[in-house]
Amino acid sequence: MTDEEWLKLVREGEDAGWKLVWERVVEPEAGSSRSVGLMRRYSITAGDLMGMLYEDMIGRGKINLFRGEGSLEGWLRRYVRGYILNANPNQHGEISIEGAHPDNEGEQEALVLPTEDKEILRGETWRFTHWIFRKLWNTDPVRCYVHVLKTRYFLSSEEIRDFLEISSTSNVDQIYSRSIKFMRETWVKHV
Amino acid sequence: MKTPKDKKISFLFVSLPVKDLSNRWTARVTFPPASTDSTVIQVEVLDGEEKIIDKALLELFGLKLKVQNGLASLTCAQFIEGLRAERIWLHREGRESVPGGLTFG
Repeated sequence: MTDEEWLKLVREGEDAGWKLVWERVVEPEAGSSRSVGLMRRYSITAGDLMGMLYEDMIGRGKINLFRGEGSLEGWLRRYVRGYILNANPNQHGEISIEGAHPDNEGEQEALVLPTEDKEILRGETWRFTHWIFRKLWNTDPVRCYVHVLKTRYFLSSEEIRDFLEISSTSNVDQIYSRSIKFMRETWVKHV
Repeated sequence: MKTPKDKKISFLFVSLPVKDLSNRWTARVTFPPASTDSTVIQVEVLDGEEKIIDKALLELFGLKLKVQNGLASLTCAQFIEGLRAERIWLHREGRESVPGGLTFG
């Protein structure tokens, strides 16, 4: 059976096609030396992998992303490896391999999947924002007060003028836009 | 000065990063709704573990405010007058004095 024929069977959800997916992709990958230990650690079975693959390929239509670069077997195997790695409860983030290069056959293949821990990223962004705000404070404390009153309490420029005894609403607006500009420029400069 | 009639507004000041974490502090200045120049505002001073700091001196905008049982006070007019000052320090007996600044929160 050629890859094109197999692809057609898989795309149409045919038993014959998916039997081959099990035999050529899921079972061998689940039994490979690099996956066995991880699957045991993360409590994931070959049946789970098969389910995830079917969900992605047929449920989400990802089978249509196969471009024919490399073998269908290798392309599907990348997904299965990704499911195993993504089963790590300490690793958050999405794995996408739509842009994968043509496969290298064999166990020695070095597969790098794009992953990021969103929790860490969020924490780092928050810390960095605080750091920038402190720089703003050192530059001009009034900009910080205006910034807080605008973004945290949603006060109007009139209310801020009356609160902080700033000369005019346009002056309030100017201070606010300068605070935003400073923070944006500092972010760009240091990232 | 006057604050909005329908909102309570707080400014949170925190200590700058320090090696000894036990010297961290926060000071929250709260303006009740419809505050005016003569309104007395409370400053709540806590340590890094969010426990009240019993006794200290809060240097806020050139004013030296006594902190007792975690609280200090000043008028709105005094706060606004010192608005442009960066200098905010907490002095505690037997401890390093630590400066701070405004933050979100």
